[in-house]
Amino acid sequence: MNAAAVRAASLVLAVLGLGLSVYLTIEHYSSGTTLACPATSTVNCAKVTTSPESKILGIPVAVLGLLFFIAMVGLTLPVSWRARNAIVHQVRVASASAGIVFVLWLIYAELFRINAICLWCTGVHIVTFLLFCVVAYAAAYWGFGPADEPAQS
Amino acid sequence: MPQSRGRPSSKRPGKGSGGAGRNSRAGASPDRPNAKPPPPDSRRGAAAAGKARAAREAARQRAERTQRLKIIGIAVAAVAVVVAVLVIVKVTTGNKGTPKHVATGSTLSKVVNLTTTIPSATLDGVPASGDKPKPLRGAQPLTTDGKPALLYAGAEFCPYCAAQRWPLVIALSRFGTFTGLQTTSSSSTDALPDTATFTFLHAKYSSRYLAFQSVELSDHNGKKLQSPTKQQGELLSTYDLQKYTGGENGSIPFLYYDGKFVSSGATYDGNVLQGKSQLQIATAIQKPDGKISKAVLGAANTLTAQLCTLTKGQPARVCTSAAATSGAGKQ
Repeated sequence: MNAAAVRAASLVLAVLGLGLSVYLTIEHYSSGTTLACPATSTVNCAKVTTSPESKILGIPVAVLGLLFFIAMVGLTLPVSWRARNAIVHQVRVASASAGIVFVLWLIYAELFRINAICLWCTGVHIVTFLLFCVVAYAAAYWGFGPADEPAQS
Repeated sequence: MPQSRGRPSSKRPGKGSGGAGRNSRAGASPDRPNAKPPPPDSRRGAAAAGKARAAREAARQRAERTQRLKIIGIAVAAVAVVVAVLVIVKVTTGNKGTPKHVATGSTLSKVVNLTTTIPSATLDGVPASGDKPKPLRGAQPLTTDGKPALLYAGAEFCPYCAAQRWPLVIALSRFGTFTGLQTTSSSSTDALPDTATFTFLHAKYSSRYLAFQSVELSDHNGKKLQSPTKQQGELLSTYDLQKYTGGENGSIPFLYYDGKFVSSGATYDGNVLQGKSQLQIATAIQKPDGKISKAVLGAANTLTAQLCTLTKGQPARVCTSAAATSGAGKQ
């Protein structure tokens, strides 16, 4: 995978994750109180997004996801990938790693504490995982330097 | 690597196109008549050493990169393994919770008796309340043995189904008789956890005026219980939609009134039942006052009025009662 592909893939994933997070955040604040259940108990977005686990320190997880992807969009812009400052690349790797750890916690919470799965949340989890893979690959290949040169074998 | 070292040695100084040749020509320049060109062997050695150093550096970088890629590969694989383990553990262990509120024996009999024989005077003392079903036009009728049928689809885990069964049992008991009613409670991990209720899983209903079809789709833990018949499945897929019910597509509890009305969701706020056992609820609804009575009996009266439209006002003692007319008047 060359630098251009890494840059493009990471930005596309970050934007996709941002879109999903925007939707979940809007849902979190706008969904009314419906007195109904989905026909299956396993796939139940409302149960997940209204559970006690949907907030951390009073902050909705959807909002945390939104902030995460806003940061990741900034960190995966071409200008960020070309940055000479190693801190930019270190922050990108640290953010992606924190994101995947958080995703693991959320999957655990969905499966064992809430006992329901939200498909939109699962979409965010997949995007976060793929983003982590791309960012980690870039860090392995180019280190904490700019990813603006063709990959060397 | 051996080729890069061997190639210069095969070239004659000044005749090749490499750096040694260019240096050789510079050394012979007329501007620097006294400058002595370095010995050709020394220059070749320096160039070769430089290339060797570069090659070693490139090899070191490749090795470091390979090492980093291995570490990243392990990290990614570790994440995938953790997710896989979580899913496998969940699938193999599943939810094994048991309903918190279950009435058995004499308590069950008492609960069923209290709930299915509420005096008319008590029901008449509570105004009809709660949400009304949405009217349908040109929808498929639903009959059983020539009688208009009410279809209920719900699930034992669902707290809103749990709430809705109380007025359903009360209203239907005014038109006929239940047998085989049992109790359960909704999921402990959902909204309105452990709402005490009945289950229609083994219930039979008989009436001169109407039929009752029930499908409990899942148990307390969300495991599949009953499958709808083909006709019931078609009604669910056709009418359990937002454009008919006003609720989310595929929501339960779903009620289909012989093609005349349809609803999804509880018709009252089941919060009033929180923390109560079946016996406590059944006892509370024996009097017309109180939060539980107002909510449950009010919703039952609304349902009664709807059912009277299916039975064309039969039986008259029910459909002309204050309870039913208060529900009809609000339509």
